[in-house]
Amino acid sequence: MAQTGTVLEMTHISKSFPGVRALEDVSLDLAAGEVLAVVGENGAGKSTLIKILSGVYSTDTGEVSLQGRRVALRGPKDAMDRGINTIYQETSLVQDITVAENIFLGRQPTVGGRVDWKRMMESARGVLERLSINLSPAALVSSLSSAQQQLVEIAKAFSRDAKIIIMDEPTASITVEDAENLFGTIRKITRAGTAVIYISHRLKEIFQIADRVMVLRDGKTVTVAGVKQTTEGEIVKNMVGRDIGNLFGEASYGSGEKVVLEVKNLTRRGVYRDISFQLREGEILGLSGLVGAGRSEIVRGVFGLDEVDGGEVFLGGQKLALGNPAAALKRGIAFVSEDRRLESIIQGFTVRANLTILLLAQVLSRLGLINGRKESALAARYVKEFNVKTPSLEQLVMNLSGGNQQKVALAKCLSTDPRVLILDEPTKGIDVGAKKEIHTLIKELANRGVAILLVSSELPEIIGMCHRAAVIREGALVRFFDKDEMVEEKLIAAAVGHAG
Amino acid sequence: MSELRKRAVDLFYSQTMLLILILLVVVMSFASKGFLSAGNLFNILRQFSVHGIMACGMTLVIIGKGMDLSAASILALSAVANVMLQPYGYLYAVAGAVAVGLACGLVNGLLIAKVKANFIIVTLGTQIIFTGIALIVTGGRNLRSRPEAVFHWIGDASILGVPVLGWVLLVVLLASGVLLQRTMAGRRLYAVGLNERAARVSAINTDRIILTSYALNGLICGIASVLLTSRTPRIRVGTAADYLFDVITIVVLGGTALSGGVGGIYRTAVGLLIFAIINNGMALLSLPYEYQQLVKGVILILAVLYDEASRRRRHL
Repeated sequence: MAQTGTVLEMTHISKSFPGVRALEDVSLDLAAGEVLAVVGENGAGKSTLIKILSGVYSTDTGEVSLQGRRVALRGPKDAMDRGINTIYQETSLVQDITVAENIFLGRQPTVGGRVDWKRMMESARGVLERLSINLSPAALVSSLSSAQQQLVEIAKAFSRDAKIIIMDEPTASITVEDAENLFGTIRKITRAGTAVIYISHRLKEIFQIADRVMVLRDGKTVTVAGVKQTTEGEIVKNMVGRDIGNLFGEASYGSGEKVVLEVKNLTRRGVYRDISFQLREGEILGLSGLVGAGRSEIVRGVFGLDEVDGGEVFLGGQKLALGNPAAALKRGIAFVSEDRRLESIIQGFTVRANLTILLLAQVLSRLGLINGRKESALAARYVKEFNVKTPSLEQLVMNLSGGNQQKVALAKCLSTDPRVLILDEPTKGIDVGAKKEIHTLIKELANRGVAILLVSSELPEIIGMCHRAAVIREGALVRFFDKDEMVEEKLIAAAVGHAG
Repeated sequence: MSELRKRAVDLFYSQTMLLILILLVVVMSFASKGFLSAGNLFNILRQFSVHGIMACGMTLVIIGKGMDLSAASILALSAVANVMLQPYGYLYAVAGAVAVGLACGLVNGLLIAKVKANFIIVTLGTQIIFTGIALIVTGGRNLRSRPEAVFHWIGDASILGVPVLGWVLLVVLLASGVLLQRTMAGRRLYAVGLNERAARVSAINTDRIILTSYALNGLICGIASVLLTSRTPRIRVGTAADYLFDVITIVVLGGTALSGGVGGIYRTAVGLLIFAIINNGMALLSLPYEYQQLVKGVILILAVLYDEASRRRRHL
């Protein structure tokens, strides 16, 4: 039966990086079968904590004990061998092989030196059934949704006899139903004695799934409490260190009359078709729908990042050349990608170089050379204006927290003074405080007349921010909602195709 | 305190090659009396000016996350053009060499940036092609540079006591350094090398940047070929191939990362000096050629290993 007692104890952990004190004297204990939620703003130290526990980082000071025995984790593989499995937001599954092969990757049952396929499939089916995961072990991983892939990762960890499973924002990009499903699986594994460390920015679900919640702020533990002994408001207050009031503020803005951007019959075969909409000056138009419905692809097509097969885009009445981001940018469209790691900023560049990459023409000397002093001054202005928290302008952006990276990405795009701003999941994986700052900023921009196209998977964000919302389902724009029509149930119904 | 220590560690890892260079100079000046003499130093400068110039071009390409395996073949083909055009006057000869280098670079760049062919395969192919053309044109005979006064001057004369070859090297180093550090194109090249997708989202015409880096490298190889023919009047097309290995070693030794977007001309200059001093040292100690090759191979691999280790150490 399930084992009991403390499986993990971390005491007085500290860790710093050049210019950043990531963790300071943090202690944590975890009981078998328990779900401990860890929350905090970006930069609070959650990622560092996970990375220490999964063997990616070593600690500066402090001890880690497993089942009462002190251990030194020598790397990710060592941590895994000791029963600590981490499931990151990006899947670590091999896409082109089956579910069963992934579950038993590197330890396939063999017969006579060859893989025993029959036994592997049966064992995999056993594991999946035990966790009530409704998937075929013979399915190709690449054919699964990201939510399903997550379940496979859990099954994989579970079959390896994981004592502790760490989940880093597992619900960041999956739907509400998928999340319910995920919670079911988590309950199954905890009943079997596996402990779970659950990182999330969605506070509501913490009350659904966690036993205790730990709040980190600026690398220090603020509180650890049972979920029954605390409230959402209290957690938020502890995370940001102050009351933040209504998350979306007041909607005291209105959109203008002039159409700035018009999209006509935009089509990309097999991805989306016949997408038409208008965007007015100062308007925030939300693109809502399920993950994978084609929302991101549509805005990428408008900006010219992806090829399109048909349709036209007009900017201020004039036709825009598609497939050319440089031209789009020059004409006044700015785009902030949802992918901070690979697209919206250059991780290996300094804060300065990221902020000025679109503005270099402004800091050239008469000889056409970059004037370092002017460049730094310009970057410093943006750091201040957007409240980017960084030890210096020369810090590499990859060393900043997610929220601050996002501020750099936004500042960079807004530096061109765009007429149209396209935001793809601008607050994905960002803590409450930074989220609110970004929401306020978006509204300010709309007030100044910037037309904004906002892709978001979070319905409260769509409803709270947008003047209008367009729901995309399976590559088609199914319905527009005006401000007063926007209700979560209706938007969901349109997104999944229920009449109503 | 620990903050200070971390900074010191960082500095140490980022400047290891400079420390090694200083150490080498000190050791060599004790080991060999002649090492620090002006004669020997200028000799080093003469001998490695072609390497140094080519390393600048290679640095550009590698920062853009590429590599040009045809660089030495471009050098050979440009040298052939230079020698063959000499009967028409030195201006034609110099312009012809540079133009052939640029053309070769453009071919590489077009195939890699526009056709999207893999850079290793493309430059491996053009390496054979350029050398092949050079061999066909010369009929496999050695090149014999005409005793033109201008080339004598480039190869042998000095300005303010420093060889002309050294001045040309200095100009190319400075020009490529300024290009990388102080121009928009340079900044964009780093961006492309670090993350091509993000660079594209930042409205950088990544194809054009990559194309330009290969074209410039070709042009620089063309310039290097003029120096080569001026310094050594007799050249065998086949021997130019040795330059490729040396040039890549110099760039890597300096610490410009093969993974792209990290490094620079200052590093390449340090790499050049280390490489030149080790070679000069081996010659002064009269190490046989075969052993010299062995040492150079080991150095290249150690440099790559060290670079990898120090990056991991610094969490980069």
